[in-house]
Amino acid sequence: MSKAYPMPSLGAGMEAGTVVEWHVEPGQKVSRGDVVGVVDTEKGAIEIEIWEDAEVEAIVAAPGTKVPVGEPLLRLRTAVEEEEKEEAPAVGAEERTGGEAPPAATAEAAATAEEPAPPTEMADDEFVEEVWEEEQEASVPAEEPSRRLRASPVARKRAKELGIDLEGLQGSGQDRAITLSDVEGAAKKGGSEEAPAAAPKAAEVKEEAAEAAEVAPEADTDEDLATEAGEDRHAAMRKAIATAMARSKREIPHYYLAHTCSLEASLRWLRETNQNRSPSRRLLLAALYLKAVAGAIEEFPEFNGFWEDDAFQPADGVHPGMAISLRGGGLVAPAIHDANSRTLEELTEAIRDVVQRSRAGHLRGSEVADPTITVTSLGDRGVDTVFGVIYPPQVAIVGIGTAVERPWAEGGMVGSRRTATLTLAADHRASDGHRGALFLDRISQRLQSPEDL
Amino acid sequence: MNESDQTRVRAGIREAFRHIAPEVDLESIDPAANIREEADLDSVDAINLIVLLDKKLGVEIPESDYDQITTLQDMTRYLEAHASRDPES
Amino acid sequence: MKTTYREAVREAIREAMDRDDRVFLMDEDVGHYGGCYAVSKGLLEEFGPERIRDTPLSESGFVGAGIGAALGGMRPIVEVMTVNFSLLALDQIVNNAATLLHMSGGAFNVPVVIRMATGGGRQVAAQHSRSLDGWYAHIPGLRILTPATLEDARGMLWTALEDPDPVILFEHVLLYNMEGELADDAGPVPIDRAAVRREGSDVSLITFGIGVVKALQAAEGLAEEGISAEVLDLRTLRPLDDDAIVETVRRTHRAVVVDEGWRSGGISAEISARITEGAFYELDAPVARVCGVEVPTPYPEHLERAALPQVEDILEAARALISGKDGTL
Repeated sequence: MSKAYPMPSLGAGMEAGTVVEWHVEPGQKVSRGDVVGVVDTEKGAIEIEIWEDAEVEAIVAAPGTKVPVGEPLLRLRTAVEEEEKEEAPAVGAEERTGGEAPPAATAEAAATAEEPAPPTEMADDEFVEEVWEEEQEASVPAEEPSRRLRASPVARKRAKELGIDLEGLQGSGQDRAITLSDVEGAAKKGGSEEAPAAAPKAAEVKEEAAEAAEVAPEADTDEDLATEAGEDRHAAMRKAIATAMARSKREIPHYYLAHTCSLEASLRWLRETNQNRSPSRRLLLAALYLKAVAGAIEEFPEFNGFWEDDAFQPADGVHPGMAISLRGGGLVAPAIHDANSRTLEELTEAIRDVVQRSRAGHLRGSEVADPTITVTSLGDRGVDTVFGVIYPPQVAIVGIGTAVERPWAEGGMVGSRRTATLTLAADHRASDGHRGALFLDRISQRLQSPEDL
Repeated sequence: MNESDQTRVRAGIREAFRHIAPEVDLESIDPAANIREEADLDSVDAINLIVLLDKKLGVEIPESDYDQITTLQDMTRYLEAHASRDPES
Repeated sequence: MKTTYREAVREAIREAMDRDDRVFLMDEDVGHYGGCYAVSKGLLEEFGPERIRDTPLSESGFVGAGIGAALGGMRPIVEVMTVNFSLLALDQIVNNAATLLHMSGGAFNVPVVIRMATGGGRQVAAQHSRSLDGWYAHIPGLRILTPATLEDARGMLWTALEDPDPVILFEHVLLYNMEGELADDAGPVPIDRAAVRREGSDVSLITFGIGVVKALQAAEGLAEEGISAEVLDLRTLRPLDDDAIVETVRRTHRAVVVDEGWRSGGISAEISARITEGAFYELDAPVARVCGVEVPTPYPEHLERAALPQVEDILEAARALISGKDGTL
């Protein structure tokens, strides 16, 4: 069957994205998880993935086109029946996948507004790492943010009479519902062949767009262009952060806990481990933090998920979003998928990769949409304590302060220890302080046995 | 160490910074100031820098030497010293 | 013939008195004073105090007397100054007039006609500005008419008197001064069907009473914007003309229900529900409603205006239903 691949919702308040480039062309086969193109949003240029095996039928939105969330980007041809069957369960799974589309999926009513979970984080500044590397975890990619097709009753009736597929039609009615005139207009144009123009001189446009999107370094190319795009994006990101954080402080009853723990064990183990490793294989302290948090979450699932529809919806997987500050301001908190089940080596690699891609504006849609909790660290130059602001609809953010040397009393003796203050800001609607305290303590304990992480 | 080594080390540092912190103008940085603070490098940037320097100059800086490369001039000196010992890379 | 709504009602009463000597009019101040809205001015002189009867200040008493007279074979026109005061006669209307045919096993019809002024907009404050037309439409056993045109003001009364069961006519207070042309031979009109007052293809404005006047003005405005609005005057709120409602939605696929009454549990809700029941698959947008704001009608002019449906509210609702359109409908 022929169906639309819509603009995914990648962030709180994301209403539209601009197609930067396509990595596919009509007739090309794509598999679940493939990156098919890049869209520019207030979070930067995001690589968007496809969630089912299909053949690209047509490119509906050419590079440079601004497309509202939910409206078609591509037309796909999938293998009929079977695919449909497969999809059903997937949709069910979607709720669970928490990760992904919690918002987009549930919020169809809001159509635009909900927030998948992007990045904005809030801590203050530095941050830490991220991981990700996802891609291959074919299992993780959540479902495409599917929303029920919105069409008026009479539009549906007429489309049936005319044999027109409503998928792929652009709705012009309230809430972008497909109306009778949309159906009749499509009939006039010749069936559901909505995909008009499609990919024009892809090549040229592509280059230009890609360039503009390249906030990244490498390109010593057209700096003016890049700067301009960067400024726009910066303003847009500021706005996105403003929206999400204001909503957080307005709606979420935060409670805050702090716990100072010794980092001696972790730092010593790290030094020994890294001693004989080449630079690219050296583990990052951030990876230990991430693993400690991700492991603790397994015992404290009430901090991993979303507050939606007046209830806590636990997430399926553990996909902590790592707050990453961007040069020039702003921040993102892309998901490190399944952080609880990855090795420290994998996490380190993932963190380095995602940090670089975040700054270069090359995040993937699933990374932006999937975080189930946020972890923020102010690195090793920052502050003692981080008071986090929860990224809605998540329900918790773990903050890790700077590692500092402090006097430390233990067993009747005062000594010097390198320590860090762990903090938790959590949504009191979803959890209580007692559990929060245990959660922080568990993270701390895990950092005392780095070899077990 | 000869002149070409020097040139090569400086070019390597410039190149690495361009990837890690493209907006930083190395010329305007105080060579005696803490480079991570001057260039706003976080821990991931730092490790990425070390990896890049290794790749470009063939100098594998052990963690225990990190305190010898905290400023731009120390870093330059350190790399020049080690790079010249290893003409291969 | 140029005339007013008020004169048309008076002419209807006059005709009824002429045609049937069982007909009489009674209410507070309908005689010497000429009626609180001057509808019956001059009728006392013409028909005498036996048939144009001033009553004591007791709605329950004189409405009950009217019901009794109807049971006794008369054809009373009982006026209640305004719907607000009819609440004092609710027991007579709802428990007696509306039920006697049923309670008597079909033995006794109650051919009474009750007229009352309804609605707000004259700055007479909350307890004098109610729009309870839809409320009465809730009661089986009553027929509810809402004349909104000169023709209906002139023609509904006689037809109502011919109905063997109780009929209530709601005359909106802002309509009395409405002027217009009325055919010289205007006379009784049918009361079973709604009427399309203006044809259109993009949206149906479904309303009654004063809403018809406002909807017609709105339709005019919409036409200038390229939106073709149809105006359906329900005329009878009980029983509702389901066919007409479904047909207009079938033509336009979009509906705005306009009711000066409150939205919650109002007749607008009933109409919306019937559209969903009977024309769901014809809808191209959710049914919209323009209703009175849910507060006691304010006294200050600007607040009263804000609380009652206005032409611009209808325009806005209609535009919203067609939002997203690029002008070409």
